[in-house]
Amino acid sequence: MKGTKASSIVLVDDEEMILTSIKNLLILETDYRLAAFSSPREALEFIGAHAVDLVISDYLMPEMDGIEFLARVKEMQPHAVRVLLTGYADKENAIKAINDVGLFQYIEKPWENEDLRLIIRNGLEKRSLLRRLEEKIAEVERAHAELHDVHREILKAFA
Amino acid sequence: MSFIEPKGTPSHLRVLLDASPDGVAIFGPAGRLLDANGRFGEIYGLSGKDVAALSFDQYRRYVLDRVADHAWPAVEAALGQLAPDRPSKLEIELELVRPETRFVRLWAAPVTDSDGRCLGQVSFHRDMTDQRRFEQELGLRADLPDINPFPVLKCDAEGHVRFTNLAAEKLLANLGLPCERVTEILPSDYRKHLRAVVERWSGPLRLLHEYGDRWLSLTVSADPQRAECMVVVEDVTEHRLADEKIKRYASELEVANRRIREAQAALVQSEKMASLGNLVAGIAHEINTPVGSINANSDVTIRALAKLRTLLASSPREGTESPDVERMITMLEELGQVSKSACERIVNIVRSLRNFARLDEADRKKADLHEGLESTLTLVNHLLKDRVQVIRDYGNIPEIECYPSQLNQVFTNILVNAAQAIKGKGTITIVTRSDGRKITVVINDTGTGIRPEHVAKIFDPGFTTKGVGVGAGLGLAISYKIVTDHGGHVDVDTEAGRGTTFTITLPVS
Repeated sequence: MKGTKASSIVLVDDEEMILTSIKNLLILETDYRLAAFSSPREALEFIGAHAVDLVISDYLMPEMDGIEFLARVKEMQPHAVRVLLTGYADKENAIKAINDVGLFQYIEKPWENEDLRLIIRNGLEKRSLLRRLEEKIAEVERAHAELHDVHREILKAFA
Repeated sequence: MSFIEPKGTPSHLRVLLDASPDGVAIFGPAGRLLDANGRFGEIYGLSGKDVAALSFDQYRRYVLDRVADHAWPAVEAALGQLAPDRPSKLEIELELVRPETRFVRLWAAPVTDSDGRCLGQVSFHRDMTDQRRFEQELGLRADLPDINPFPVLKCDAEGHVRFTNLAAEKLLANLGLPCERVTEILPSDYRKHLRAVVERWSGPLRLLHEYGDRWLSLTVSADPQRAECMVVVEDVTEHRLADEKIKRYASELEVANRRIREAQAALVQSEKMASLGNLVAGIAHEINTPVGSINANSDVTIRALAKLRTLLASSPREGTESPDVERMITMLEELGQVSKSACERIVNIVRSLRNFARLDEADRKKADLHEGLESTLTLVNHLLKDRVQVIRDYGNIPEIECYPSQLNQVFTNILVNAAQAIKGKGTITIVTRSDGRKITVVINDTGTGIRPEHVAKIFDPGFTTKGVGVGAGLGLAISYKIVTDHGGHVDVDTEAGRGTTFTITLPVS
């Protein structure tokens, strides 16, 4: 369900210019809610306090590298979509991280905006699908539990 | 008194004459031979009959016919004085050379009677040949005692070997040569040399002659006064072998030296490449961030302008419908596009740089040489732009197994040299062709060409015409090594003032 609440995206890159570029693209073309950080630590603080749908992080950062950051994000909000921004030389590490950290995608610098948009959209769609699935499962479980209670009542009534 | 005895009756005198070791001949005053002993005939090689019929004149003619040329005048004078009717005392040595050499000492004395009347001439003839020979031997040996360790030959001016010393005989024995064939150890034209030495009395002449498996050094000197030559022989086989060994070692050393210099050059180059690799990796990474931003921003600009256009169209305000607004929006859109293209170019350069250094792939793989050429051209573009035209004539060439980064180095070297050789404007032409078994890459420039005296050295490590400090002169040396390591070869064709063409040939498999 395309929620009434717009998706929440977190951008993390120690280079301000990258944050500006991606932020403006998303502001222009989408209605996602954006939070941009040049410090991964600040970003983690934010993620600790707010539910987020998708996190894009650069790989090479002075405070901590992107994989380590996204691993922590996974711990805090396992359902958030994780995307890594890498340089050509870090590609191998990114590919490893897809498995270790459970990345959704990596994207190479310099990127094409259209590709980035598509990745974000796909990521969010997957997220929303999963959420709906979870909700449905929860519903089914609730229904099942109710049914179970009714069943017991009936048995008690006829016992 | 007559001392002619009647024949048939041996007397003391007769016995003495016949037993004498010397020849005796008595000529009468008329010149007829009155008597002679057998020895006389022997000495002169005359039979009994010849002797009996001999006259003094005949004798004299006989001697003069056979006497050595240099002695002829003296002998003629002496014998001339000796007319039997005018006998006188004479002692002379005759050197007869025909039919063979003989030395005969001649004593002649008159015979007179008690009244002083001439009865005739008596002559005594002694064969001195053996003695003179012995003396010559002695003379020959005088300056060559047997303890002289060097083999020495003595020859006359015509080249006949007259004497060999003990050491020479030993040498001949070692060579398996009998003494008579001693001249075989001399070069075939030795007579010419002997003559030259004798005539010009020049200093000792050294000859080197190979006999069988031995090398002989011959030192020829001459004594013109004695008209004889001395040849000192030395067996220098061992020296020559040692010399040849030394020469071999020297050339091996040279080869080893060259190899070491090449290895050193390769090492320096690989270290450069390693640091280049690190540099390239760092630079590429650094560049990608700002380029990423510019590229994304240009794209966002274009999108925003599209939206602006829509916004203005949907809610026009005064002035916003003017064509100037539209023109401005279009201009910004175009600029945005240009910025995106510029970013693409930067990305291309960075990719070429990476490609050149092949940081990701240091291994042998199948590669397309055109890709390498294009990468390289991108990287050297700054040396070419607006000045040098590049003409590509790319044929259909297969991918080949190679070390792409190494071949890129080769292309770079040659293209940089080509660009630098062209002063002012010029053209570089690149032709690639393949016949299925080999690929040829021909790079031609219209530069200054290579001077003929340099051409052979251009692939030498360290050779450069660019001056000290500009380059190490390793580029072509390493390129040559890379191409030959790939099983190919590099050829250069150049003409001063016209240009240079490098042809790289590589096997396909």
